[in-house]
Amino acid sequence: MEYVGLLIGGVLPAFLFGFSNTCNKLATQNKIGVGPFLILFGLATLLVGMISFFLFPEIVFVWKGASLAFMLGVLQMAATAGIIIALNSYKVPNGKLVPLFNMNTLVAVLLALWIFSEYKEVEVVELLIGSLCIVIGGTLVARA
Amino acid sequence: MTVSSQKFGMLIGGIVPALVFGINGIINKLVVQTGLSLPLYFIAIGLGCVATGVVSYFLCADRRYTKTSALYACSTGCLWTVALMLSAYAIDVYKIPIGKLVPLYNMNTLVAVFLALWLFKEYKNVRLVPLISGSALIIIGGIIVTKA
Repeated sequence: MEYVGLLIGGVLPAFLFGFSNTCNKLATQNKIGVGPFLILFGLATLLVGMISFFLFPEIVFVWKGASLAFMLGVLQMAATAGIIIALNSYKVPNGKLVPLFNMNTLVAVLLALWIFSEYKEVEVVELLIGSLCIVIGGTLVARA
Repeated sequence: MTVSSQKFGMLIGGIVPALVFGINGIINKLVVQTGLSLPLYFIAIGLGCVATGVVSYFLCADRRYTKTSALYACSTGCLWTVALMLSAYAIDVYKIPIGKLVPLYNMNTLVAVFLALWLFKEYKNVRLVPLISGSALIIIGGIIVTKA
């Protein structure tokens, strides 16, 4: 059971995020400003959200969850604006940015161990070693 | 373009996003824990994204777009949203700790780099040793995390 969850929530998203991080670069190569990029990104998110009603018809609205989600969108776009500006104006290669921002692994893992007490559910040492391997491996691959 | 300005680019396009995306991994789980249903979750994210987009539209002078770039921007949004939705689903239904999902989905560096080798013809001047050793490390790391 757990492996299916890891596949759905970890491995599959890795491929999708990989494609989406490449589309960032393709978009800037074809000339796009930050404003239009973020608006179009947001509209696409709205569209996917609406389509997903067909898959998950149950409607549960919680103010706290919705405002946190709104904040997630704002933060995501603020950071994405930085990525687009770095690609557009500072000509940083995408291959340098992707491993850098994927170091968020370390931030998220440490926060999760602490905030959600996930140290009770996982082997902490293995998780940290594995995460480090992925981060270091990412940096190596991008420098190849 | 001087070296220091490229460093600034790496700061705003790499380090800051690393912190923000890390925090967003946590927010993802917090939202799932509130019990908000997935479609509403993603519509709320979309509204946040559009709102930020509109603000940045007025703040940034660069308002160019082409048909092709617009299409790629939409693709980024769709792919990212579906990926995040899958991770939220795994947290909700399979009760997978977010600390395990984040390292796994951040193996996407590997995917992005291999796509770049192919799409941007970067394979012509790639160094094989870091490429293979780095890929191996990512995959070994992924296996260790899965078993953690």
